[in-house]
Amino acid sequence: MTVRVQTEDFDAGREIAALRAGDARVGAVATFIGTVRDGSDASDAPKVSALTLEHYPGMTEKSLESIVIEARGRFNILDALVVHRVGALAPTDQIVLVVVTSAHRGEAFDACRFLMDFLKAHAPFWKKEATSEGTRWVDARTSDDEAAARW
Amino acid sequence: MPDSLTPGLVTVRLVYLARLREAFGSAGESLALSLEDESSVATVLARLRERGGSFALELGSGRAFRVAVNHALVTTDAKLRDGDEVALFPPVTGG
Repeated sequence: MTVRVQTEDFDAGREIAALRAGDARVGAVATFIGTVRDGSDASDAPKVSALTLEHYPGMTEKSLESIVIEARGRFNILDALVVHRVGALAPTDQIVLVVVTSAHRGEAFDACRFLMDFLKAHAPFWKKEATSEGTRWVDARTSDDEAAARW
Repeated sequence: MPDSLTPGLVTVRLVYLARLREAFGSAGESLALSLEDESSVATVLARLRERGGSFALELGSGRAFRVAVNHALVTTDAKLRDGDEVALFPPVTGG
């Protein structure tokens, strides 16, 4: 189990290969990648030109680790990886990677979705968007809390 | 003598993050609470609101914010001990 917070980009293929390397118990690998969009949900809003990801050093890693431990307790998985980027990002950039390995696909899919839902609701990251009209902090969505509450 | 060694005082380290850091114009500060304050997160919030301005606005009723003590999310009735790190931040928006 690994969690990482970093400014650098990540290579999902390399991360998946490393997570399942030499483990013949693995029969399923579920992966989620979150990327930077240039639009908000309001169609008339100005395009996003840049995104800054801030976090709370010290708490972030502990938070992600506790979410992975929770996933391991709830689902029969073999291993899990969470990589989250911070700093200056641009549209189309990768933000977050979650990889889960298990014997069968059901547990891998469920654990992957659980990890993302809990990360979005509990891990201390904040997004700030830049548009032609200036910068603004992204508001938390109640749908994210609802997604986490389903579990 | 530092506050942390003064009998009867509880000194906590406040950390402000994201929108709250910008609104308060500060990344954090030390805050000394007397023992009679019955040191809890609620005490800290009351002290900050007394300052008025952006503190009263951002930490006012109806405003959404979160509190973590020593890197764990807590509710406002959480008790504080000398040297605790108390972080105030908006609802999270990562992922």
